[in-house]
This record gives sequence, structure tokens and C-alpha cells, in this order.
Amino acid sequence: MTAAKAKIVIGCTIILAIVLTAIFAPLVAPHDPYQQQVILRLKPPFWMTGGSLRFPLGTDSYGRDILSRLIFGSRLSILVGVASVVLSMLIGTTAGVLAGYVGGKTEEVIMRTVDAQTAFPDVLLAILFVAALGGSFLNLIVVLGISGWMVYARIMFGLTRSLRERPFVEAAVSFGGRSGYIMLRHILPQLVPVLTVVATLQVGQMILQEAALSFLGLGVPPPAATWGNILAEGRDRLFLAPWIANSAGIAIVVLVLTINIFGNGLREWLDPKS
Amino acid sequence: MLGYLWRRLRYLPVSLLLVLFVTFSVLRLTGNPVDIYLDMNRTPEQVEALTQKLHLDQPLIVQFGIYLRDVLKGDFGESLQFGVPALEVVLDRLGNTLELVAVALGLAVILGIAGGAVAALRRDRLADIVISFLAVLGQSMPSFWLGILLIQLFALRLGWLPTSGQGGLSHIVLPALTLAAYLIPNFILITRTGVIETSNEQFVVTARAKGIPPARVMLVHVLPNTLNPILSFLGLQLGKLIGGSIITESIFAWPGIGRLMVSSIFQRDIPVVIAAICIMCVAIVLANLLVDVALSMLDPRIREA
Repeated sequence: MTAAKAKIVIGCTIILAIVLTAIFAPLVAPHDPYQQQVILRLKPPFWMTGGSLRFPLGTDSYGRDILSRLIFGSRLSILVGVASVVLSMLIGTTAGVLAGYVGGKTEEVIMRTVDAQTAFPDVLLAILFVAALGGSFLNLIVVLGISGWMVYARIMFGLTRSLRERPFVEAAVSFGGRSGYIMLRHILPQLVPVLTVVATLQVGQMILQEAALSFLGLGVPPPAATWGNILAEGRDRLFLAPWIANSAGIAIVVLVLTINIFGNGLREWLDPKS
Repeated sequence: MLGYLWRRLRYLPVSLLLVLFVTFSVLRLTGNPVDIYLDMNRTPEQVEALTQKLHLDQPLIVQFGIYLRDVLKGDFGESLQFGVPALEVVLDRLGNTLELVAVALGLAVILGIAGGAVAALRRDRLADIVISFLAVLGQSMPSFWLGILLIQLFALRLGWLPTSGQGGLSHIVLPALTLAAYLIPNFILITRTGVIETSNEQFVVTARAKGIPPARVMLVHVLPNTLNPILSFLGLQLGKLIGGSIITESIFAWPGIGRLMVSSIFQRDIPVVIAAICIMCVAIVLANLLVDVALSMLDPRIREA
């Protein structure tokens, strides 16, 4: 088995396990993630003294089971990650293919917008949106989707421009194919492999962004169980209960690292040159 | 040199105009400005005053013109929580943020270049493997958790450094290190590649053949050639660095612009949020300019182009 295939298999297995856990969260989670039991607050994980297998990763300052909160939190992370990637991929690919195929003024306007927005930090954009609209599940997807489209636009622009010169596209043009048809049926299918790789890697980045925004208090507001919220709550309890922040931190790193490994494996497999 | 600077400076107003246009659009087009600026307990008088102040009864394009004029005069409105001009509140905190960013940059340059150079010199040996592994790990580590880990280790477990706040030199170490972590992994990898590539160049072989001590070859002949890609990377990452400073300041309760901005959102102090965003964008544009000028001074080829 090549290194690329090993990465894909390992990545895929872990991601599948996490996604299944997220889907079947109510069945898998040992407790209700929102149930507060103040008598059982700040219980340590089972391997520390005073911990028990009843709360495998311990409890937070309201006595809520951390493992269950992490499991339910993965739903939001994955949903926001995937949905915002789909949104930014739609915007970015449309813009990039248009700029690359049509060229001229269209290209100038689209690509200069890409340059301008790349210089503008996406956190600032997110803060602006949250200040205006408030933090919610849908707003997060929109904000992250809008802040991430430039990556796709830039890559798709370059690829489309080189595809436009290829004989099969010229043949389609000389047959009288309309621009929209050529872009959709001849150019887009060629872009799918690269799109898959970029989108996969971006899911990891978006999950990080979502966690960062929730950590700042700009995501879905508490008591919602999100990884960023758990980390932020844990930050205030570092001395008494470091396991709260650390369990969320490890969850984020594991998921993002796995997605990166899977994405890099995909890239090596689809493009043996790199 | 002056001609080059002028060519670059021309874009400055365009970038700033774009930022102002975006902030204006988001604020005026996402909902009723009255709802955004004022809370639930507003009085009709407050609504009336705000309508007057923001000229909400005028067409949007006129509103944008007035907004532009006010902002150019430095008038972002009054801070709702402090009762003084919003710009004043922000500029008050600017020094703290600049201090944090400057120390972080210094740390990143020293640790990144030293790490990369060591890794390149000990290529494929233990030191290289360890440093390269740490760099790759650092790339997938969310900075907000890294900051929390640093607090646990150095502040709570070892008790060497304070957990948060601002004070003496010891207060800035952990925040600066957390912020520097955005850059260090890439600085290491870029320097490592650069040093390995440059070491095979003829001028380096010549220098070594002349009997120049290895340390001097490294410092004078090899490392200056890696500055260019590092600076270019820094220019591309300035936005991320500013975003990172917002998170870092929040973790360590560092009284800079980022923390002010986040707390102002919760206080619904929109004028301060907007002023902070604009100041940060100006800072990014200016810093980008500085990077470009530094690049062109280091590398005559860029000036000519």
C-alpha cells in the first residue's frame, strides 16, 4: 500500500467514525449534554483520582458530562464546516471559472476583488457580521462561506485559463457550443479532482475558524454544546479543572489533523506528480 | 525608490475605500441601523437622534458620502460605553496591540530562522527531524488551545509566569509566544528550504573555499537570501496575524484593540467596533506597504520590475 492510500484509509476510517458518532449522538452519548447536576460538578476524568467511568471525561462546572457535550458538539462543528465549504465552493468556483473563461473586464473585477478580500482578515469580517446580525448557526455558515471563497476562485481561475486553450474546449467552441454549456459540461468536470482536495482541506480550516469564533463568544451562544464554547468555559476553570479545556482542544486537533491527513492523501493519490 | 513608493501608495486609498464600503454595507444593509446601534430599551428620542445623526432619512448613497466624510475627519461617533469619541478609545489601546505584535514578530523571526537554520545544517539528523515535526504539528494546532496549554504549563504548573493581564516583562512572554506560533512553523520550514537551496550555490561554495569561518558564511552569505521569502510570506499572513492578535488578547486578557473589539460587541458598542476594524485595516495596509518597501530595499530585482 502506498503512503497516499494509507493516508486515505486511515483518514477515512477516523472521519467516518467521528461522523457516525455525530449522527447517532443521542444513542452514543452516555448522558444528556444539557443536563445539569450541581452535586456532580467538576468531576475529573476516570484516570484521575476521584473520577469514575460514569463520566469518562469528567464534568464541567454545571455538572454536565463532558464526553456527551463533545459528542453533541461534533455535530455543529462538522455541519458548519461542511456547509460553509459548500457555500464558499459554489461562490468561488463560479467566480473563478467565469474569470478564467470570459477574461477581460470580468476577470479584472473578480480577481481584484479576490486580492482585496484576501488582505482583509476573515476574523474581522466575521466580527463585523456578528456585530450586525448576532451569532447563530446560520450566520456562522454564511460568514465562513463568504470569508473563504477566494481560495477556490484563485485556483479555479488558473486551471480554467489553461483548460480554455486545450483542443477539446476549442473543438466545443468551434461546434458552436454556448459559453455556459462549455463551462458546465467541458470545464467543470475537469476541475472536480482539484476541487475535492481543496474542499476537503478547507473543511478542517473552517472547523478551526468556527471553534475560534465560538471561543471568542461570537459563535452559537452558550449553553449550546460547541467545541469552542467548551474550550472558552474551560479557560476560566483551568486551575481547578484543566480537563474541560483540554478535552475540547484534543477533539479539535484530532478532527482537523485527520481531515488534513485525508486531504493530503487524496491530493497525492489524484496527482502523483506532487 | 521614490517612484516605486509612489506606485505602491496609489493603491492605499482604494483599499481603504473598499474597507469603508464593506463596513458601511454590512451595517446598513443587514437590517435596521436603529436595531443595530440601540438596544431594546431605546426611547423614541434616542431613535430620532440617531436618525438625525446617521441621516437615515436620506438616500443610501448620500448616507455613504456623509459616512465617508465623517470617517475621514476621524469621527466614528461616540463610544456608547465610555462616552468619549470611539476613535480615542481605540487609539488608547493601539500601543498595547502594537507592543504585543512587535514582540511576537521578534520572537517569530529569532526562533523561526534559528530553528530553520539548525534544521537545515543538521539535515535528516535527529535535530532536523524533531524541529520539522514540531513545525508540522504547530501548523495544525489551534492557537487558542496552544495559549491555554502554555498557561497550564508555565503559569499554573511551574508558576514562572503570570496567567494573564498586563504588567512587567513577564506578562508579555506567553501572549507573544502564542501569537508568534502563527508564524514560527512556516518561518522554520521556509528558512530550512532556503538554507538547503542556497548552500549549494556557487557563491557559498566559493566563500567556504576561501576559508571563511562557517558561522560567517551562514550569517553573511546564506541567511540574507532567505529573508526575501520570509518577508513575502509575512506580507501574505499579516491579516492572519491581526486576527490571531484578537484571539490571543482574549485568552490572556491583554488590553489591546482585539479584546476591546470583542468586548464592545457584547456591549453593543458599534462605533468602537467599526473604529477598531478600520484602524486594523489601515494597520494592515501600512504594514503591507512596509513589507514591500523592505523587500525592494533588500532585493533590487523587485524595484526594477
